[in-house]
Amino acid sequence: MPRPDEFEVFIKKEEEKVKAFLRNKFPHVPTEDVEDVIQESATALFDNIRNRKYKKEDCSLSTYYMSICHRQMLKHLRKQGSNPFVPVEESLIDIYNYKTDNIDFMVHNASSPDILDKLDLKEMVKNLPEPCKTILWGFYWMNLKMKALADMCGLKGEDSAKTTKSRCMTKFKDAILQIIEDNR
Amino acid sequence: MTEEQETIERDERIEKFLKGQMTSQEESDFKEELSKDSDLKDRAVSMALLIKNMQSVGQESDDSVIDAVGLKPLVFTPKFWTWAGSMAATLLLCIGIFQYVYHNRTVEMGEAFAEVVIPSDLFQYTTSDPMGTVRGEDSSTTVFEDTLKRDLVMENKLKGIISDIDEKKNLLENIKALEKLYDEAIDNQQCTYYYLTDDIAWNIAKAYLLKGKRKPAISILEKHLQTYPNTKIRPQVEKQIKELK
Repeated sequence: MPRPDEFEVFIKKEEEKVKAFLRNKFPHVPTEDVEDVIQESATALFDNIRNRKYKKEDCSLSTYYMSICHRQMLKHLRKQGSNPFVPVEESLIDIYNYKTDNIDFMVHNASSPDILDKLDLKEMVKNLPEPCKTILWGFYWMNLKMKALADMCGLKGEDSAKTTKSRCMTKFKDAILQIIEDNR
Repeated sequence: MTEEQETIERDERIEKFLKGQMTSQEESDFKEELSKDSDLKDRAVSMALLIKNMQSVGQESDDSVIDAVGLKPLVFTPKFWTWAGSMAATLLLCIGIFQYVYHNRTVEMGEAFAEVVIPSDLFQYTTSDPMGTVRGEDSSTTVFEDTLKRDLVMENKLKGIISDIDEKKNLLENIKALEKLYDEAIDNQQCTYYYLTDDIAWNIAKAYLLKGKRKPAISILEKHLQTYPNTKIRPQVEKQIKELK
């Protein structure tokens, strides 16, 4: 069955992140193998959406795709048998999701709700500058653990990911405060 | 601790709150802190706004991909039918076992019920002396000879039915006959059986139990108490209803 454009656009959009994640997590695997795994994973993702195996309540589509890529890579390494060390499969994501009530409580607590209502924050989060876009979306939307986030962003380790994420958060907060100030 | 580390820890606390992972004490301390520390509040509000808008944008994007891919219509495969068949068989088996046990237990209750002695109007007097029965009235002045003969026939018939029930014979048929007599007795005070309603109701319940049917047995006993609240078999009926329930 032909895959629709929307799906191809999604795969293309995720490609760089997934590739970076696999290459950083499995540095010894040849590039061609990484490409093969990504292609197989895209097919598996398409089939799983069609066959209702993907449940959007569980995680985002990006997170699900990355998990498939991770699992496919481990399967590929086990099948090859040439690698003496195949890492144990571990969860890439934090099992705790954000609670809508707590998010709403905090949003309603804002000092200038009237100004915030007028702002197009959706556009703002869509167009965050890199690397903050990948880091913040990876952490707050994909719910990735710090280690997976570091692998996806090519950072040296969890501490580096935490620091970068914190700096990005500061930039975002400052941008919001600046917009509020400008709109007063 | 550097300022950066403090910021990281502060973010982790905000995330813990937003994920609902704080204890109630931690949460109330955090909320109090929010009201005093404007930097903490600005950061927490920004993070909540970021997450809320990401969820909205991300969900819209995911939905458009899922809609475009389209979900395969649900098909009931042979595997599904095997599973459904085995579930149905298991369920039927469980229901069957339950009903068998329930039925046997009800019949046992019916046998115990049959042992209970009630003050019976029917068996209080001998058929050879129907005049003594009834109604505590002077029969020579109120009851005609032919009426008495008819009463005698009917009482004997009723005794026959009850005797059949005790021997578990023709239970359904006898239940129908007794129910008809009971309804007649309720509707018409002139009915031959009006003074025998206690015996009739009691024996309908007994027959139902011996047939393994508990609900109609309870129902007739409850109906009897409602219709004749001052019946002399009230203590026995109440006790039986309680046991049956």
